[in-house]
Amino acid sequence: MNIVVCIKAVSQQIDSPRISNGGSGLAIEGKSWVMNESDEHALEQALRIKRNQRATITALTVGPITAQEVLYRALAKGADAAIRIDGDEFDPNITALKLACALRKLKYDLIFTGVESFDGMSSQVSLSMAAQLNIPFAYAVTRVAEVRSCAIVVDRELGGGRQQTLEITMPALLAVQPGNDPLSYPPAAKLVQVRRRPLPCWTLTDLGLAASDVMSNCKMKWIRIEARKSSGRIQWFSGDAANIADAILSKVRDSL
Amino acid sequence: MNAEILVLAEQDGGELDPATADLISWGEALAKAKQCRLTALLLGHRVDGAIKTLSDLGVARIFVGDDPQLANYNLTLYRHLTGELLREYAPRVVFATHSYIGIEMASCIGAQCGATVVTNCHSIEKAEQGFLIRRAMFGGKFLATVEVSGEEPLVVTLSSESKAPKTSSNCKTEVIRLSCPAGHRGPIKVLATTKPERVEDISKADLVVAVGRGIRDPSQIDVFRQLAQELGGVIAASRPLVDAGWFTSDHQVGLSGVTVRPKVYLAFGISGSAQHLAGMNQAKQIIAVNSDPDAPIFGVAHCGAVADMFEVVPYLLAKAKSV
Repeated sequence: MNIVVCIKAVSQQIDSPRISNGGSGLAIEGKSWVMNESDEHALEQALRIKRNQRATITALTVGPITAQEVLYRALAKGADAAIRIDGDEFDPNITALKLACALRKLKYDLIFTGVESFDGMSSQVSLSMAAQLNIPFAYAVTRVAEVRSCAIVVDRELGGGRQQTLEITMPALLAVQPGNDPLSYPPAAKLVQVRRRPLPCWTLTDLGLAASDVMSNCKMKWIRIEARKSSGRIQWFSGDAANIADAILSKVRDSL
Repeated sequence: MNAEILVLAEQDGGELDPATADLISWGEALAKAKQCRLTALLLGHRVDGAIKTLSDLGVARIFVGDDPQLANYNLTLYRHLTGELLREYAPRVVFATHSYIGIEMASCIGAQCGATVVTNCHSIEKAEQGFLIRRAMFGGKFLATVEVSGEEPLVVTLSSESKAPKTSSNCKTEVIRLSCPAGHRGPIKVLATTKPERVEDISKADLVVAVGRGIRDPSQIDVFRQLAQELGGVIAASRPLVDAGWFTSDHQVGLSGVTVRPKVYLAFGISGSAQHLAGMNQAKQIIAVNSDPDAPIFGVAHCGAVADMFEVVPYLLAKAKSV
């Protein structure tokens, strides 16, 4: 079985994102790039399948050279191959287009992604990719219950506490919601060892795309981006813990 | 029929999902600005209650699929029906809630009508050409404004953080029934849909004491539980504590769990992921205590304190007991 896992490098320490290229992009500088949380859970689901049957896992990411870190981590955790697709656009439509083109060059029975990236928060890349590849998908998958010869049985959330069990014909795409399954931690030696492996980097030419294809998929123009501090209407309680407790209690009593 | 606005109504057990009412308000505001008609699509089984609510909200036309096969969400059937509908009818803007079902359907409809899809939106307004949309990014710490051209149809999913404009409409509602094909098969088969029995229904409480990742050890939960009891409310938690097995899922507030709208929501050590905010931002009085002044929870809170919750809570409990 061939499994492709799409992962994204995100930083939780973004200071000031800026609009670049006259509104067509977003330039961000961040520290300590890590694998996006739900993408890491998606990788774990793939690794769990690989523990029980023959499977080859390829990790894919779209990003600049700094994004390589997450591919090394995926290799150290047990992925068999990793490919970086070059790009620094901050647009789910373009990311989905690039990933779909890359996937057409790869063999896959299952594609795993996370439900949402910490930074973009659009939840769009996975489902847009599935639409472009014309394959069935499920969003908010929490568990792979069974892998059959040409179908997979999964549990997914519907929101509001509702759950659904689906049987999906492969090839299929699963967008994974972090659940209660623990993450694995790769040994330090392995993390060092995988760095010796050269990571292929695919450019637009490798994907069979022209710059104009990317431009025509750029549907959003960035106008403004601003930090959302506390809501303007917020009333702050200060002082020591006792003062704060008093203020909270009196507010509670007034509101009930 | 052109230039219309379509709202994807969500229902649960035949009653309209409260978040859909906000979509209707956004839809109506835009329908007024563009001088066009507001239409809703409602799929489910025994949905007369939801039809009535949509009609009361002033929706001009409702396409209804009412069939036992639609009782639970079924992507294959839902997609078949939207495909049939979009062959006859070309909306310019489609609204869905930023829920798991809304996210899936928005993507399907976007592909079916070649639309631009923009998700997780806080607001949308008509611009000179196209639309101006605000959406949260970077864990909710930033708000971005983007412009889409409006040349293509637009599909948007609205976050529950969107503050719907107040609108009023009193037109007569036209209801058009859609027929659901029997034995329609696709690559996705629904084997089971379950809704867990709620042991405790936190959605009805007037006061909710909610704890989050700031709790580092399950032994620290008890004092917050006592506080909830003293104040006559219920204890609730954010997702990580439920995933860790410290709480049962009927205590989980958020998109995957329970949506609450209490009079008072006390949040301790909850940073406020978009997932969580979606389940509580309609509370009337939100009071948050967190050690991180930049925590997104302060973006929705009415009152806040940047403090160590473990220092504050003993005082709160003692004072609550003394009254």
